[in-house]
Amino acid sequence: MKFKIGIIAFIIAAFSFNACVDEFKVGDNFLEKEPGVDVTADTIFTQAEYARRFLWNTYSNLYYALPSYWNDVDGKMNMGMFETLSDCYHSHLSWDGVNRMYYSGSYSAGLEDSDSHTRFGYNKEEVWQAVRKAWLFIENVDRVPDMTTDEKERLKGEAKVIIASRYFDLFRHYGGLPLADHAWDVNETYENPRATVEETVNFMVNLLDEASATLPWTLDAADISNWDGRFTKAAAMGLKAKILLFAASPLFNDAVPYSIEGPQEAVQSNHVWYGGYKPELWDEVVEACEDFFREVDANGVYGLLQPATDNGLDVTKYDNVYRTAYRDAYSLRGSGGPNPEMLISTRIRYRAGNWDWNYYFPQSSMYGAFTPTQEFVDMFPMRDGSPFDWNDANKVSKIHTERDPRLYEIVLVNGAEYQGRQAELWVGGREAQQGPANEEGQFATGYANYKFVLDFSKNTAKPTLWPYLRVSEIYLIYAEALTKAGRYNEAIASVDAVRERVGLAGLAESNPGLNLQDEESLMNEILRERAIELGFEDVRFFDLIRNKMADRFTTQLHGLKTYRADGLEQSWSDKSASERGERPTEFTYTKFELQKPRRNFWVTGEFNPKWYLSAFPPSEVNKDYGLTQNPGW
Amino acid sequence: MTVIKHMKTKILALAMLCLLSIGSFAQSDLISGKVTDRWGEPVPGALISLVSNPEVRVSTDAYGNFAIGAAVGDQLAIVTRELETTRAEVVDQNDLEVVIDYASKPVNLGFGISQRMAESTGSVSTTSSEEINRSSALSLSNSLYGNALGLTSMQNGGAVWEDYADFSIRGLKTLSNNNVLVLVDGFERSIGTLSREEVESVSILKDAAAVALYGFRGINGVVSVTTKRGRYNSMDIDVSYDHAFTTPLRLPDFANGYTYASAYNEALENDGQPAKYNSYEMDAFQDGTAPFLYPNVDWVNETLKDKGYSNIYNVGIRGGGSKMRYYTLLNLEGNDGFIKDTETNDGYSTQMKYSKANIRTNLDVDLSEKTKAEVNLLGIIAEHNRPGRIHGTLMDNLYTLPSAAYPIKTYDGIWGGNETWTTTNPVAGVQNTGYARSHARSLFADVKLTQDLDLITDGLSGAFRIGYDNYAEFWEGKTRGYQYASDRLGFNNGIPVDTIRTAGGESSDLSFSRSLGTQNRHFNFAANLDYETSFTNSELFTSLIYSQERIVYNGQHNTYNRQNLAGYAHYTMHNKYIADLALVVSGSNRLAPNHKYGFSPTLSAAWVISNESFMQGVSAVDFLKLRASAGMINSDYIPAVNLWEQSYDGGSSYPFTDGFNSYGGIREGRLPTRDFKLERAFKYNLGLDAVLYRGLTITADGYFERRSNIFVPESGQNSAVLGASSAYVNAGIVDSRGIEIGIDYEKIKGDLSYFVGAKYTLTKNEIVEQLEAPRAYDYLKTTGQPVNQLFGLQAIGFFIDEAEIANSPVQQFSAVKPGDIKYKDQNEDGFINEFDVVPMGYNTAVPEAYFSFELGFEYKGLGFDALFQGAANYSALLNTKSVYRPLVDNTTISNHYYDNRWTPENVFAKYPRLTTESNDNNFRNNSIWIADASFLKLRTIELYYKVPKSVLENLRLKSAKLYVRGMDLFSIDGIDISDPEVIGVSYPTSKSINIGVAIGL
Repeated sequence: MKFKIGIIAFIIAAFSFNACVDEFKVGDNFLEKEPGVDVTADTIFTQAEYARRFLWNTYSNLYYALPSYWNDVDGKMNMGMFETLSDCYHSHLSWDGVNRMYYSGSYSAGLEDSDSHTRFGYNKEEVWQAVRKAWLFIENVDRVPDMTTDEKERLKGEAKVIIASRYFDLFRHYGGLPLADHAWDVNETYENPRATVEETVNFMVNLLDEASATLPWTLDAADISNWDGRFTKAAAMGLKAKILLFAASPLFNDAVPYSIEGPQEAVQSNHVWYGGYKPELWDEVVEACEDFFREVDANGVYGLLQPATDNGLDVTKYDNVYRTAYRDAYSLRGSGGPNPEMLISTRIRYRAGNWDWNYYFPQSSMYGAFTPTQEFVDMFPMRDGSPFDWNDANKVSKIHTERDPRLYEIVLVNGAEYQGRQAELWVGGREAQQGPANEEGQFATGYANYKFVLDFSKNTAKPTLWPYLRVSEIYLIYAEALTKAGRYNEAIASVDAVRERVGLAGLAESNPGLNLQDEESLMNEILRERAIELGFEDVRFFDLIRNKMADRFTTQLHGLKTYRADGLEQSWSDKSASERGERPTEFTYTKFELQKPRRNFWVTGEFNPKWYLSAFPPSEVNKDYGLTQNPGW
Repeated sequence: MTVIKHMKTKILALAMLCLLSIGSFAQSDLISGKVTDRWGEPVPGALISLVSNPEVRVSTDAYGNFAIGAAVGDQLAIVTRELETTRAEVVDQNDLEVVIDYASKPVNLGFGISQRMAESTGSVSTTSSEEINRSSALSLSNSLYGNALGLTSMQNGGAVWEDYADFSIRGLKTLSNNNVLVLVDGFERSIGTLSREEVESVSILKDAAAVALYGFRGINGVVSVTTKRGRYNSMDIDVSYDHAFTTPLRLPDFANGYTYASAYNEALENDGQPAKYNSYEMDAFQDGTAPFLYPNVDWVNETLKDKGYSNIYNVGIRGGGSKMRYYTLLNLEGNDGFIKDTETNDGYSTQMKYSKANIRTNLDVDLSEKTKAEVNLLGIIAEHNRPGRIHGTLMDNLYTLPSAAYPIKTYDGIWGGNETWTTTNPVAGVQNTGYARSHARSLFADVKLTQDLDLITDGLSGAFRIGYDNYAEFWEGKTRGYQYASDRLGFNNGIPVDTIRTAGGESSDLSFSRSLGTQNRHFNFAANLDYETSFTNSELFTSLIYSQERIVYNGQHNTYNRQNLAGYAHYTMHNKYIADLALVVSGSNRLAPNHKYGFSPTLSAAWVISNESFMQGVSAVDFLKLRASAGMINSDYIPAVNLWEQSYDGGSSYPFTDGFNSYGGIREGRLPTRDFKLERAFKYNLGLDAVLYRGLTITADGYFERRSNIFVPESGQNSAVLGASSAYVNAGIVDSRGIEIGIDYEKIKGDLSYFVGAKYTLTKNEIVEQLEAPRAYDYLKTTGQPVNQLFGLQAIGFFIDEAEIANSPVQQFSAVKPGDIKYKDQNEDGFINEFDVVPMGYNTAVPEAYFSFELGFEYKGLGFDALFQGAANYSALLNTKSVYRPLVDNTTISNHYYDNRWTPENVFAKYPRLTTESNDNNFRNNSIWIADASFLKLRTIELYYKVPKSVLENLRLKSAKLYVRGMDLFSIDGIDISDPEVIGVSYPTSKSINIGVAIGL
């Protein structure tokens, strides 16, 4: 009897103690999902707040050019940037993708599959993710009950600009693309062949036109401090001009295709060009710019950020005023707020855990991943607007002191104000040390990058915006299109507007020896002006490829060794006042060929036009959904 | 009683002993007989009962003799203390000979179902406590190398408290999860902390018939551990002690200061850069006169010693009365590691120390004639201690720091250290950074009740069992920092002009930190209803089993709820033809709604040929059985939780505001899986068990398995334009096949006994389908290759000079120089790139061939045994820093590399030129770094002496054994400089000499 009671008591105890808190369950109940916190599609599109967040997340896939984190998308070319493939910058960071694949000449199509640090991977830059999310948003937002129709239309417009901008990000590296015109359902076949350049451009432009119809011209004044960065009608119209310019350029719009190497299927199918020269494409660019300026005239808000005369700065020190204007123009928040010039700016999440983004980009700057070349510095005019000339001893003596104010905002040069003193970039100087002599590190070319990073201390307390599109670029796009259309004087005026903002005289006045009524000379001036106005803004590299400027890839680039005239290879500022004497102001300059490393194009002296566009990853081509490989790859 | 329920047998035994000889049938006579093993040795304590009336039962005396009331023609059932079972028919009244042989061995299928080998239709191998205890391993998991046919057990590196073997059964069978199920007394439990002493046997369940009852969990095979239990009316006390003198096996050997400096200068020269050490400095390294400026520190020898030790103490008490039986064990284990100079601090040691106590009690209580209870409890308390700051990085530091980096201490007694080598000074790390400890607690507890239900119908019985296990780990650290400095000379024109000191770090007091480590809990429940009956010439056992388990680990989505309902039938005809059918429905909370259950049918059969009349005259064949099984087993493995749902999660936010603020985002996750299916294995097995000439045992199995419905991502086939993570689909297929052969010969002849044995397993597999992305060339496909097949470039030597480079295909990984590896252009396109890799070697995880052989003899108590174990078709990837990847990233260089490097004078070298730059051309998978890791190890070798009975009686002891053992004394392999099973930066594996004594009271 005692045993039986014991058994019964034991069984009761056993069934009740299971897992302490949960009840004992058998059968289906035991296998039920744990109560979860999961979000489903229904949750998202039944609440306005969730739907908006879905779109904000889509924004986070936008292009941001500066390297920021150790992942494929944000890390870019393993801390490098493809701008250093141009003639304005040279990378001295031996492990970045620029060095490993491009300078070495070892880039091949297969690397698009196996390496994450090619210049812009077809499926590694979150382009397709952004496109899908934007379509998902467009297709589902109408279900949201607590959102006004106006807001829905506006947000759809923003989503469309996201799609167009991401398409453009790929388009300028690859040409025509498969057109994703909806979010694929899980039950569909995902096959989608590559479209022609023309179809791809029309796809982007149509999206932007649709968006322009529903987007507000600018943000409400009250919203600017919180919502700058959202797409506006001005952004959509400006982006259209930028896309049309790229499409109308000789790379795609010429009598001959850029490459005659096999495979030629993409050429034959017009996937990498228009199939011939179409002058009317330039008219479309002109029209897009004029539409934009007409809207600006009608609605105001946007324009070049002009130097302030009432900001308390000493106007006689022109660089204070003009440099500030230029810096504000590329770095301040736009949407008609403090910076009328910013049309599209993108941002990244600024912190991951304790890691400030400001660690990564400054770090790669210090490693010498973005060292400006002498060729770049030579592009900047003197402060009066006249071109720099190595044959003019007077100008050479002012090489680092009397230049276009933008030089000092883009390139750190000898004598520039830096960390509370004047930078010593001479060999043995406090900053450069033996960097230029050994061609190593941050000052390997005798210069260092200044834009965005500044002196490593002034730009740390706030997010760094990426100036995806500024009004000054629209002026220069307009100038280029006008030139192609033969409207030279209007073109010059458009360039001069940009020069005037930094206090430079007009093109004609500054270049009396140049025939600016000649398309080629004028184009050269416009491209030079683009390189310096939009320096380090992802413009120069694309200018080279869209204009098929092969010779700029094979030209040996240079750095500059600056020596103190007294021959001392040592710092001045770290000595005590008694022993250092006067600050050195006399220097001698030695241009030197960049060697560490040499680019393969310099070594061989040959440039194959296939390099203008990237290769698609072979695995994608081989999936046989109609993706033709670019010629030569 | 065809199938004897494990526990029930013991219960019967109890009853029997109390009622030692009841003659309840009038017509019966007293039958005398003797039970012997196959060598004629008497078997004491065996239980003999009448099959027709189990209540008539007796036991054998110390000489194996028994007498029981039975009639001619009756069947007797015999069960030994080791639970071996057999049958005998009474042919006349005297001298019935019963032989307990191989066929009598128990095969434990779990859930209380145990069969004798003669009747088992599954592929099961069993290792006994005796075999396990030839090893002196601290953990049961490390005592199974080469011991269990079909179990591939591979050694792991790491500190003692995490050094547990990796198990696999029948190789890699799937692309998803190849983990085997490990059970202790029927419930899923870790065996890392289980001691060898408490284990009765370990069974390896391999084919469908053997694993069927375990539902989803058994798909990759089962390692089933049975612990010891008490015995009726007896008491044995076993006390043992084992002491191990341990020595590291193959410590790394790095270059001295001078060699390092020479190598570094040579590497710089190879890279076209100026030397780092000038001639003055090189001389200083060579003559060693300025050890504080130009040090030569053998960090490995300064930090590690070549002697450690382990102790194992066991006190086990095994016995019982007439109504209850018990087994209780206290096991204490301790290990002291290889770190030098750990006692320099007052009050604490920084040695890698481990200590553990296992306290087990297994109780069997007969509550009444028909109700039996079982209580099993195991508590484990484990602790370890290690140096404070460098836990986890000590070995990495030793594999990084060059001899020339800095001295242990500067001339004025500050710890060495500088900015170039920011890794902790290992000696300072040991002596001056405090210590860290872990405390872990485990509880394994279960209770079982068995009820005889004869009242309802004869042959019916029921049981249920509940278990609760818990594991928790707590960490604490008392760490402190130290100040460091180093000096170097400044030069002017090669002449030293001044001494420059760099200093850093800060000396601090001990600071305390703590954290909770992993914890998990298991709840187990099982109930079964058994029914057994017999017909003319045949017997049927059926069982209905319900079981469920709930396992909760740290973190979200880490709860596993599973349940099984199994119907099992075992049918025997004429003792010759045997068939088993298992129909199992398994459910799991991991699976999609409406797909939560899987159905697994398994059918198996055996034919005992030796029981056929035509075999009776064949005296050479004692036992011969053929068996075959086929079954479909499902898995509840899913590669991601809730993968059938379109998931959304918190995505990146976007910072619209002008500050570090951003607005939260939501994003779409992976696309959902349509058509959810369970991963499924079709398993087929053919086997043979034979005993020839009374001592030669042969087991052979051949199997084929097709694993289908394996979840693979669809991304290999989808266009990137989709823009979403592709869904997983059930499209993967892997075929595997193999053989297992075990041969043993055992003989006892007077005072001499000996055995020899060999085991061999070979397993092959092939990926049939995995939705692989299209490849540029067919030979790049991994489909058609084995799972985890290595791929690499074929090295064809080193470039001799620039001319050869210019005349060879362009190698596109990085710029090449003379002394870099030259590769074969597999596709002959003139470029060497990622398209020139080919399948090479095997995989690095599970060898295809695994084998062992053992031998032993004993003469008048003096004995010897040895076990060799090896593996083949097994590869290693040689990429250990400093050892095979020297100098780059401020690492050091091994003497092995230095001696085998390419130089212009040594162009037929083994390894490429030295470099200080990351070299993508040389350091990638290729035929130089993909090495054959096949090995043959001497796992155990033992010399022992068993004290003779005559002496024991005077000492009042039941048994006494003294032994000297060698564990892992040597390995024959092609790796030479590290353990072929543990390549890479790891706490060294060890070999040991053990002395021990085991006494039975």
